[in-house]
Amino acid sequence: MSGLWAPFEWDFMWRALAGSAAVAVTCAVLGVFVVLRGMAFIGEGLAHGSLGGLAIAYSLGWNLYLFGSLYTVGLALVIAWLGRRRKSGMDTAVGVVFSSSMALGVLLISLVKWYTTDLTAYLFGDVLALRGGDVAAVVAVMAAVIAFMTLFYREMVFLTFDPEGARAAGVPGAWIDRAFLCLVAVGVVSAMQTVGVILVTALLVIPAATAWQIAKSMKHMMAAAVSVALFSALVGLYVSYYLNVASGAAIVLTAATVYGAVTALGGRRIGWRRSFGLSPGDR
Amino acid sequence: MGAIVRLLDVHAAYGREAVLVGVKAEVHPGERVAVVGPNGAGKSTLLKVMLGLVPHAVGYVEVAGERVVPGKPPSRAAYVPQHASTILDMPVTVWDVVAMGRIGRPGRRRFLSRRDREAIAAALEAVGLAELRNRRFGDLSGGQRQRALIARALVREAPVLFLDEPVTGLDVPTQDSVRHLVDGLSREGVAVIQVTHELDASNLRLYHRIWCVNRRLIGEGTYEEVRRSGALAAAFGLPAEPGEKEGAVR
Repeated sequence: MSGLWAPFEWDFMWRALAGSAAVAVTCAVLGVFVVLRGMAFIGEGLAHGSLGGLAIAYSLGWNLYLFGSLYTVGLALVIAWLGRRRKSGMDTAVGVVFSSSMALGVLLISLVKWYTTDLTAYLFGDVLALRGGDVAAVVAVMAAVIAFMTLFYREMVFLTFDPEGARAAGVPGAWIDRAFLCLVAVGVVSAMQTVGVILVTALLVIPAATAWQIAKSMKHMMAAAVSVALFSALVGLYVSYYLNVASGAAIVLTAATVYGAVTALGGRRIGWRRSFGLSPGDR
Repeated sequence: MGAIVRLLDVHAAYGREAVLVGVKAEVHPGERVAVVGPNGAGKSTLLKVMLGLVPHAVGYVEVAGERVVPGKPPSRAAYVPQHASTILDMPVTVWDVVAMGRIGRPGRRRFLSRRDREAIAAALEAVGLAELRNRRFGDLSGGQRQRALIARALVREAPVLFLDEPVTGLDVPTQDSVRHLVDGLSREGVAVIQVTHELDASNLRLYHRIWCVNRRLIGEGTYEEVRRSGALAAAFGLPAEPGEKEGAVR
């Protein structure tokens, strides 16, 4: 038993646990709708595109995560606007916007001297370095996501299931879709310090994809996704502590192991592209 | 009794292509209207204009006392889309789908009330899906799915019901049960406007009025009236039968 508690003799491990749990819940709740709507590429695009905002903030000495969040919300709104206006669709809009923004980030990084640790933390996450303020920020983002989902859960389900029927019923689809996209943007940035930009999409997608295979209802899917994400965060932290490996990678690999186990044990058959939110559903 | 749906000189277009031109029509409470016409004639667009889903460039549309403007659908209307518009692999139960019908009603609460739950249970009973309420929507047969979507429309308790080809692809018994349900609503005073591809006389005689659409409303009246006027033949490019006018267009 003492081994179970040993990591938590350190204050930073409590902060890491709280931060990871908040990020896990945030990503799982958002991820349910990300995968059902086939929006995984948008999550990936926002995560990578945020590099531009972080590089600008770093260059100017601004708060990385605050400016990064605002910048990524801006990217989300531009993607939504382009996706609606252009015949080429949302994926093309994501491809254009995120690659441009990432290119801007790379350009700035090459001009300004970044400390290696900053860049490593950004790319791979460093949950053990979370400070009290960081934990408060990710908990605040989690609270905002839960509040939004509590208030607009039925509308979100309706819009995902039957967008035209929802609009005919008077659901303000454009407004709710934009708000959701902004929350995904903020959620992605809030998760960066935990799992890093490279792995943030995995945390957004894998718990929801796992839950989808066993869910009999939307509420069941939501609960299962949150459970898988929390389990992965906790086990990943232990693995990270005892094996001295990167915490973000440990969390994501734990989630992937759970996904593999559920799939092997006979979860509902869903095409892998569809289950990871890379394609829209059959209608 | 006054009209519950009014269309005055309605024009709509997709880009520069006119889809509806000068449509003028009315529907009264309890009337059943069939919207017929060839593919691409603007039938579904006409339905979507009345629902505020497609903007009308010119004209006036009123449904259940509300002026319909793009993006602001009438709150007292219900809509049954073609079932192909829903995601089938999403884990929503039949109950969840029917409960969606309570969203957007005038004065609704954010969470389901006891009255909402009673209405949902009654609608499920009416369409014969009460025992399947916890089944995933995507696991139902095509006919059962369509009945669930009709139950979703029923729980809106709206005075106007729009249906877009609700029985296409369904087996005959399910088609009959859907028709029976819609008949019952019409007798209760609900105005029903339905896009249909079923042009056999026995089906079209079930409707109080036929709107024969080919961009314009080229014929309107009972089945016998639109047939005799030649509007049906003109819309589908068919030769006139004995007793019909040759390609007459109103």
